[in-house]
Amino acid sequence: MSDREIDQQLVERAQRGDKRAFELLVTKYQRKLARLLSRFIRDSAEVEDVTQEAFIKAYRALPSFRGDSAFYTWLYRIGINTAKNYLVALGRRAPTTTEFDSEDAENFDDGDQLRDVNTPENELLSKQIAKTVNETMDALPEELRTAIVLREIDGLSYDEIATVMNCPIGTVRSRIFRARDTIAERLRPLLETSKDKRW
Amino acid sequence: MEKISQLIDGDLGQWETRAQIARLEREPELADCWATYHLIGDALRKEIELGPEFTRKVRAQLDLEPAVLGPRVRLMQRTARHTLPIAAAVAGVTVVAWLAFQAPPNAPELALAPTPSILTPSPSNAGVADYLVAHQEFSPSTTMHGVASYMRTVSADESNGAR
Repeated sequence: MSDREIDQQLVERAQRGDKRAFELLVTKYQRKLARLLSRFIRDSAEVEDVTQEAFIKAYRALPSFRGDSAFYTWLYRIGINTAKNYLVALGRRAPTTTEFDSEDAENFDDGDQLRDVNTPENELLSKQIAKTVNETMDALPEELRTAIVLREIDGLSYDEIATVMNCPIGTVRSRIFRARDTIAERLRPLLETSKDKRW
Repeated sequence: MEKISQLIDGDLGQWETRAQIARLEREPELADCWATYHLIGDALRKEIELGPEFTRKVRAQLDLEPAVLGPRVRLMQRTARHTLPIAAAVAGVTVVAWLAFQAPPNAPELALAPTPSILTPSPSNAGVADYLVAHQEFSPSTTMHGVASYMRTVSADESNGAR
């Protein structure tokens, strides 16, 4: 099933009153949405507040979501409107639709600019996570590293990765899982420090 | 855990996806795995990191929200996609059957009955009758539109015994 179809399944479960399904969507999209909103809200605390508000608004609006667009496109649109209203309420200039269009929101890329909006606390956590992930990636066997990079950064499907790496699709599946599992193991102590704070 | 990795990458079929999502909701350790794998992907793509309290705050706020009950449009659309063709076929058969059974039992005899007066001009206005016979294919009163032009019509005066 495609990513969109998986989201749709989670949405349908949430629409049947299953909050846990919506929480899974939150864990999936929280950083992407925050990154999107930080494009025009500079203060990291405000970014978090607006991101949180956007998720709650999305949850309330779930009955009106009919699956005509992808969930993330719909969520991003709500996020952008929430951010615009927030800026207007503060008397700041909200971005115009030509400056920021939800249609291409999912594709934007200005990562270097975004990394410095973190508060000291977030920045520390972010740096620790990034450091651990990068160190573990460097230590991974070449074939595991290549597989997960092709999947997570280049967005290739298992079929495409199998073609690029000239190996069976089952091997791709296994390599990506082993890479993730290895990194997750290394992250575990870091995440367990706030285990009750994370999902 | 490998299934969660596959789920995230869209590598599972429909039924297995449903099963894994159901497990994700039931088993917190799998939900942690889902969250961590997404975190790894976001870290590799250098997404912004939120504060450690973020998810807890959203969850707390969600707990205060009443459960939403949506229209389940997709389900209805899926149902409609399968049932509408069947309903259309049944409706078609019903209409045909209804029309067939509506025909009276002596219908063939009626079809063979002589066509009324239009082809039989009265002697009193024979000139008009000739005109009507000649143009009767254009008459809106005929019950055989479009067919009359292919028929040869004749008129006979039986009173003189001529044929």
